[in-house]
Amino acid sequence: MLVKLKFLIFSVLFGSANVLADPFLFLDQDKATNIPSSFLRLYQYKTENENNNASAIAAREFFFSPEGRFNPQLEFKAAIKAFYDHRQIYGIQKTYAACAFPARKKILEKSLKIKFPEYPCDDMKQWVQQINADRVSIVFAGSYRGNPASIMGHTFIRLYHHSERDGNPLLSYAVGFMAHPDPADSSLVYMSKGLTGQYYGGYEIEPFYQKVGLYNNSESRDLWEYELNLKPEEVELLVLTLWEYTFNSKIPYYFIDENCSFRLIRLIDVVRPDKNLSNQLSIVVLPAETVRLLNENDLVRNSLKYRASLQTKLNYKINHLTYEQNDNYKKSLSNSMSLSKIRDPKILDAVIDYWNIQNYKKQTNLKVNEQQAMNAALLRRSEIHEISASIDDNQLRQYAQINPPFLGHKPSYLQIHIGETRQDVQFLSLDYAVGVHSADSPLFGYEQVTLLEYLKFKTRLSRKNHNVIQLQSQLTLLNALSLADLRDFEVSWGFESSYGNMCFDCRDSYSNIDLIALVGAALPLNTQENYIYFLPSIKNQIEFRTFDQSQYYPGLGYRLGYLHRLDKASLDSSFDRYYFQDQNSTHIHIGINYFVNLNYQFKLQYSQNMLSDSNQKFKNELSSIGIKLYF
Amino acid sequence: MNRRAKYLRSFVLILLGLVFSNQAYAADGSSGCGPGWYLFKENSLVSSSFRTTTNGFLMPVVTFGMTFGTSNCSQHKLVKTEKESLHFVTMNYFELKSEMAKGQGEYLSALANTLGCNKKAQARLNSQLKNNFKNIFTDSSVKPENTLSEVYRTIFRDEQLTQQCSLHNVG
Repeated sequence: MLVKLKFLIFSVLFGSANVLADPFLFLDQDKATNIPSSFLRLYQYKTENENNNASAIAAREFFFSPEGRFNPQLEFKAAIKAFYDHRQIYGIQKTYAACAFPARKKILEKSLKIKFPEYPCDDMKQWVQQINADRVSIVFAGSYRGNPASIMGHTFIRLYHHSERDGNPLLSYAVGFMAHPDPADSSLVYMSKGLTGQYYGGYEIEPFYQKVGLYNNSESRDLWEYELNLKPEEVELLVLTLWEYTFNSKIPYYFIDENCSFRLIRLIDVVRPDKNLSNQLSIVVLPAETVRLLNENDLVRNSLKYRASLQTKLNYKINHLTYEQNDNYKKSLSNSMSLSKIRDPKILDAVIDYWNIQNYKKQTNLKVNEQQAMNAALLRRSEIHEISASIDDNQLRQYAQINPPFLGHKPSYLQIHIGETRQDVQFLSLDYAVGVHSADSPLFGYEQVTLLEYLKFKTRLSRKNHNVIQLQSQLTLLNALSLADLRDFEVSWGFESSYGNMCFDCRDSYSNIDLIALVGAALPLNTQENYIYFLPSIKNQIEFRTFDQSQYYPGLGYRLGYLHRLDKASLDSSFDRYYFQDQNSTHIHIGINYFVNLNYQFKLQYSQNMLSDSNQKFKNELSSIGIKLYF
Repeated sequence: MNRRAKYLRSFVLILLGLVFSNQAYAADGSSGCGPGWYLFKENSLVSSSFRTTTNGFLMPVVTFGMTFGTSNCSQHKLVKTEKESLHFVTMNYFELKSEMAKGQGEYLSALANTLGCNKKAQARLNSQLKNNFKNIFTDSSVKPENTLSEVYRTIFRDEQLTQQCSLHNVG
């Protein structure tokens, strides 16, 4: 009744043809032409430039004006008109402008200091009420050992009420930006489409327990969470913006830059346009770096929360078993009949966790005997009345000694070396990499990743007796090295790809492409940080010659390496041997690093290159000193 | 057992019969009952998450879709969270199973919340579910509807829990 009355009053006061024909009658000239920054951010226009612009949002339903996607000024005017117009319906929901697009209405009302007519938006209000959020946090799903690609991690945001529904975060909501690839696409198509923005993505909201189920349990990845420093009205605007995005937007998804984490930063840009966050991001947007960015811009408050993965919990439990308990734990896994004799809840809890992890690893398709073992453990546990003490996440973090990458060194680096060869050649080398973690980098924050480098540019200027004799350069597209514990029957592997004229085993070439694939085994010595590894490998060399046709040389070989990493220093060493059809090559590398802090280190390097064929041998030795700065 | 609890129990048992029977109530259009209805409206909070199950996590067995929208619900507040509880049990089946056997945990605490149990009920609910574990999980097959049905029964067999769990969420 009240709503109808409001409409009646609205119709009398504002519904006249004049207002609808020219809603700008009530606005100052300035207000009518200056588009609020939040408004532009909400539309995700590429720049702040009001002309010659384009929104990333590709859904027609998102715009009031047919030309709105490419013309902010027209869209701005159409929006003001739409919020006065009760005769038109908009968006996927086909409802009043105020109900389909409440965030932009709120932005315009605040910046123009006007009040649009109210409409009964029951669906929208119910949605907002159900989310019931007055807090927002950013959550980072960490990497996991054995997959360098997971260094990218993933971010999503969590919406919750400060009371957390009786203190239980599982029932809050999570929002992520998800790509929608075609399941029929092959890996190669998936990769190429993902790199070129041919998939669409969208903001999606789901209960937080589903994210926990996916990352913490199914993939055994730790979660890290910072509360965002937003005011209640900013949280409200963010939720309303999500209402608009969830239903009415689709955006091209790019794996490298405009990815899930980038879109979350664009979302935060709507409520905090003054911070201009998205403009501070690198050309490769790493999820962990977006969390660092929020931290650096004072957009987080309270301490970092840690949520341990199922695997971390199991490791903790096993670590706290006595020798005898551990023995019984292992017996229970191999022989479920022995469970009936066990009364110790600590052992049974560990057995249950073990089976849960196996169950998730196998997509809940355990073999029949495994299922029986799992059920026997659960049933036996239900018969034991004793309740185990709950384990605090802080205890688990302290035990795991693990930190997220956004607390570790920064992703890009610059490295300067000066050195000399055995042949009295002095050289200066300059390396720059866009990202992210090398074998010689400080371990803190990257405990579960061995090596992942991309877009690395290397140049070396050499001279002898004050005469420049050579300028060499190399571009590395991607280097990865993943070392896993041999005793867990996990494979270690690596991949390298580079182009340039810096290779030591090149023949008479102008430049060459090197592609190396390594697969083998690694063994941790004492701790998971110190590894010895042996990786048989294939090296593919394509040489481009100045006056001749390019040549392809396949080679077989291996790499033997040792990594020793401490808090303040590290040693990285490797021995590579390759056998080509017409020559053999050997490369020895030893590097010693001292970390002044996480973003600044000194380096000492020694390397030896040997090349031999049936007629001759060539040997070169280099030693150098340098510094490496992360930024 | 006081009169209110008896009425509630009778009502719920009848409703459970309706919800978990295999009869079809396709034309009922009752999915708009209570705040929970919105959860499963197309493109809404939870339904959107069903589209993302390809990312690796698994719903054990998605059979409950058949039971949704079939409850022929009245205006009673029970129906407000029936779907939320069932969704929670389905998506967290193995975690809940483990915690019911162990007798505690955050998943049990969240389940209690979706069932409208007050905080005082938590310890008792945990204990009763643990005692009734064998009946809740009769075999290794994954049946979230049966699990929730047995959880309801566990609550209604206990006078104290019947009073402490309103069966509508307290969030």
